[in-house]
Amino acid sequence: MARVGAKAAGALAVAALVALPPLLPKYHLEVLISVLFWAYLGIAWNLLGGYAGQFSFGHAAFFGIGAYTSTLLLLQGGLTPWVGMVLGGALAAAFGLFEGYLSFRYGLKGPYFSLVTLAFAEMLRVVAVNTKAVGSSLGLVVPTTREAAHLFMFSGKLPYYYIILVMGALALALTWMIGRSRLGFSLAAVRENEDAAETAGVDALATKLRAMALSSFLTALGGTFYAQYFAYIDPTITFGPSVSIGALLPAIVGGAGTVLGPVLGSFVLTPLSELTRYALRGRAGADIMLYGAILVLVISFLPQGIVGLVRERRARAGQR
Amino acid sequence: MLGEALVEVPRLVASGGAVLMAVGLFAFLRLTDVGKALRALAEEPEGAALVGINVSRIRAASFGLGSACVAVAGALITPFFYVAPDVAESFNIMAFVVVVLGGMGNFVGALAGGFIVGLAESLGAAFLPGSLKQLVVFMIFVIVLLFRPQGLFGGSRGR
Amino acid sequence: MSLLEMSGLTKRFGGLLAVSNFDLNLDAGEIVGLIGPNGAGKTTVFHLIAGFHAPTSGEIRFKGGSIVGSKPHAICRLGLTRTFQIVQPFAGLSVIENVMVGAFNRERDAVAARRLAGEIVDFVGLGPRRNVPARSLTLSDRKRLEIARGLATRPEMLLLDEAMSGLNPTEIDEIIGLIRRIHGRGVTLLIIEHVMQAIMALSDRLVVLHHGEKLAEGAPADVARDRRVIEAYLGESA
Repeated sequence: MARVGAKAAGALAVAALVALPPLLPKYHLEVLISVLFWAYLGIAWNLLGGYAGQFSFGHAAFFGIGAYTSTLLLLQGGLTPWVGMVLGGALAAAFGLFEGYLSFRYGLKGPYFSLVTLAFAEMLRVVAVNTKAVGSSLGLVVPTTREAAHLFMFSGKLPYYYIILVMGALALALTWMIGRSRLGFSLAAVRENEDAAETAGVDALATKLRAMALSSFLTALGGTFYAQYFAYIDPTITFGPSVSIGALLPAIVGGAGTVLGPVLGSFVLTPLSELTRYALRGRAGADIMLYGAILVLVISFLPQGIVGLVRERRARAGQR
Repeated sequence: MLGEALVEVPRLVASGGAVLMAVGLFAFLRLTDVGKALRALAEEPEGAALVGINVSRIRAASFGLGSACVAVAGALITPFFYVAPDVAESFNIMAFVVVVLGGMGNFVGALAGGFIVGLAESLGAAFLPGSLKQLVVFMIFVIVLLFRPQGLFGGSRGR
Repeated sequence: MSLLEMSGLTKRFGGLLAVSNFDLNLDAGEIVGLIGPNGAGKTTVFHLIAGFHAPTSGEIRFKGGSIVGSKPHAICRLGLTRTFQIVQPFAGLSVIENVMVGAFNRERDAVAARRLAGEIVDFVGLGPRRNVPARSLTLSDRKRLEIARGLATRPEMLLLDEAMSGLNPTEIDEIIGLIRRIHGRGVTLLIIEHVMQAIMALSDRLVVLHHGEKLAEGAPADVARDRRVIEAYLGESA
């Protein structure tokens, strides 16, 4: 019975996501776009962090590569970001494979790996800050003054909403398909026990690299979306820790290694961060502190995330 | 003045203080019970728990100790560094690079790594503009990862 | 040509000589028991064969080709797989999912892999518990699961590392039966075991390892009577 209810609720949610936005006031639409944006990044991160079990703290590296690649190609070559997006993704995937190969070849795991990814993101940030050609710390302004759909420019917010909705849906579908495939089982095996996985014939290195390539590609696409939506990028925004952390939090809070985890996580966290920012707008930074405190609590008491909690409840309810 | 080199007193005090702290920490790890428990825990968590070491308490203590050392370092550099909430941003990554370079969990390695990174950064600052000096350090980081991931003094595989 | 050939196999860990000049050939269809006092180097030999450690010197040939320096997953694909002394299940996955990981070596498609895994799960006797998470299994079931996962890769040769440690007499008999059925399917077996009555009953041949060196080799009855073997085991109960 519960299954039917969940499916109905899911269908209703999807219908709402598709039909409601044209009716929403501007601010609410912006928040919803934010929610879907962080959900998308969370889904991308989840492939490497949740499914493969390799916690990256430096996904901003791929985000920034995507944002800068498409923007530079647009500004200097007039290339449409729709194509620039894919090129940025490919570049990010190549960088991810480089980073991943260096790390995984020697068996860097856990916190060691996380910090290496953080270092790489920082490296890119420092390079960007010091390179005049990409605008140094002043960043780049993306032209969006006119309506030009073929150039990923829209005057209203609604088209951006539907774009991120489709991106998120596709990423979600990809995650779901992978989970049921041979790659998904290899990822789970590597995540659970790498030695046992190798003995069972799983090439741990290749598996992790595949996850890295997919994850970094998708993250870079998010970078291009950001550039086109917010029309401004700089090294700190794109390569900084806020993106790295922002990408992993929805996945962890919602449930790493699950399909819907990042989505649920973002639907909880993003409005929360907006709310705290609004409620404590008088005191600078207080909203971030509160947000942080809530996060520590969630991670301390809900390590399996929201999805984990739901599953536990269900398992207990249907106990044999 | 030290011979031909011009040395600022605050920097001298800071480096002296750092060395002092390193010596003190080394003595602590070698000679005190808590220090020994910490080293035991780092090597073999299960065995440490079995001989009665309160794992979570020692872990908390080590975190606190590390934080205290960093705070002292922060205080030592204030005379020649700016004071702002985000001042530690660049040191975050540097600290990790030092540890990777020296070998995780290796005390002498961290010291050696610190010297190397400091030297590299200073030399980098002399030849490269802006904050690109950090890039020299990062290059060392990548090279170490490529050829000796367990660090200069590290023992087993880099984990 | 033997299925597995080891010659001059040596492994040194720093100052410790774990395995020294070890020779052993296994022909297809054999069950060979590897025994010896604790610390003799038996599991190290398994690590060397399966690709977890590289030998310091010596040669290992499987189906005529050298596997020295190959990674464990490549060796598994060739048809040689192992179990671990301390069982290593994929704790978060169910029984059938665990076995599917192995099955995916032989089937690319998830449906086919699940079918193959299901067969193996039934074969080892875990059928009723196929959807139970691995972490909830008893030790005896975990051992079966480990064997099942290995079988799903359709090996020609299986290395069993103390499959019976920690089991009670009834469970031991069941595992002996399972091993015989596996052998009946044409799998060559190299077994490390301390439970003497089991390994004496199962093995065509016994090899005794002591301080990393081969001490004796031959029919179980002969090896059991060998003076040097008895001395090596003095103080060890069967």
